[in-house]
Amino acid sequence: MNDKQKLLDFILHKSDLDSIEEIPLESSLLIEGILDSFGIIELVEFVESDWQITIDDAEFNIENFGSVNKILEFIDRKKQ
Amino acid sequence: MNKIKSIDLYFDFIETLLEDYNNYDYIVFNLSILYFRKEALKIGFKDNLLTRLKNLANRVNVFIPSFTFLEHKEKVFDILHTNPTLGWLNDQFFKEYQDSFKSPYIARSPSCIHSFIVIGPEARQIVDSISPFYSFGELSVWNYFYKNRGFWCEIGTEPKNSFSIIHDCEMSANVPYRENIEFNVHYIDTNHISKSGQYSYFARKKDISSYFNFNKITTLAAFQANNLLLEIDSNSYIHEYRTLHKLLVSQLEKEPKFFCLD
Repeated sequence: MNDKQKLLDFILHKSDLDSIEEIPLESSLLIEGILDSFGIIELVEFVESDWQITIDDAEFNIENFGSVNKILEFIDRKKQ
Repeated sequence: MNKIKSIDLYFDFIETLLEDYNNYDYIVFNLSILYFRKEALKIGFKDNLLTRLKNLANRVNVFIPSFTFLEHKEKVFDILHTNPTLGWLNDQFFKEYQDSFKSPYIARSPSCIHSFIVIGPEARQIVDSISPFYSFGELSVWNYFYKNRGFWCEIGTEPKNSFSIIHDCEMSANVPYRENIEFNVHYIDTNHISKSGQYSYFARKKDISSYFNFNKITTLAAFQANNLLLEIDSNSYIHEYRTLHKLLVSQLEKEPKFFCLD
């Protein structure tokens, strides 16, 4: 399973959506009401544990977590 | 290295502050759940947060933002049914208000943009003096904040999400990049009675592209906090509202575009 699929599966599981296609890729999961604050924190914990990366508080911001695509780019950068 | 942030630490501090400074009428409370990260996922975090906020409301009126930002939407503000769009904590108090709106100890201030849930000894009385048709100025909630004694509290929030006080200061200083606009609003009260009126809002001019310079706001706020009260950590502040308002207005009167990027 690739990074995108893994991330979208997690979001789908934590949301009230019925399918992955409903998850917006470019907009905020929080603002769009896909996940609440606790869901976003769980998402960050999931990224840390599944990709085995450490996310500092300073990195937990809208530039890195403002959308699915931004999260994927962030994971790519952290893996390098 | 990420710091452990204990919600109790913040509430202990606020309670001590209220004991040290007598005769305070209110506290405006804004908190980002995201800021607490792992701490927020621990069992008991949610209950503890709600309990400690309610305990605070036993001694002082607590204002929780319940903003709806309807200026871009349908412009019908139903005080019992128009949901806030700010997050979990704000939703919790909105639900509590929906369940207990007849109680004098919980109320919602009527504004289609800057609405607050108020819990505390004078909640209903405070809200009754606020007009549903003014965003800022004498008939708005901001006038209550200025005329009474209280604190503006931000815990873990980013300045761009929390410094709505700045707009009231911009109106007081009559900054050149904003202007008074009016639009029609239908306000529905708790008795389901609808009133229509012109909502007055001090809005950014359409031809101005500049926006807040958040770094300057944070720096100014930190200066204030360091000198008069306390900076709890780099993202959390408690200001005496009137002092902060005067500081911001005075800065804007000296340099009207102080918070603008260009």
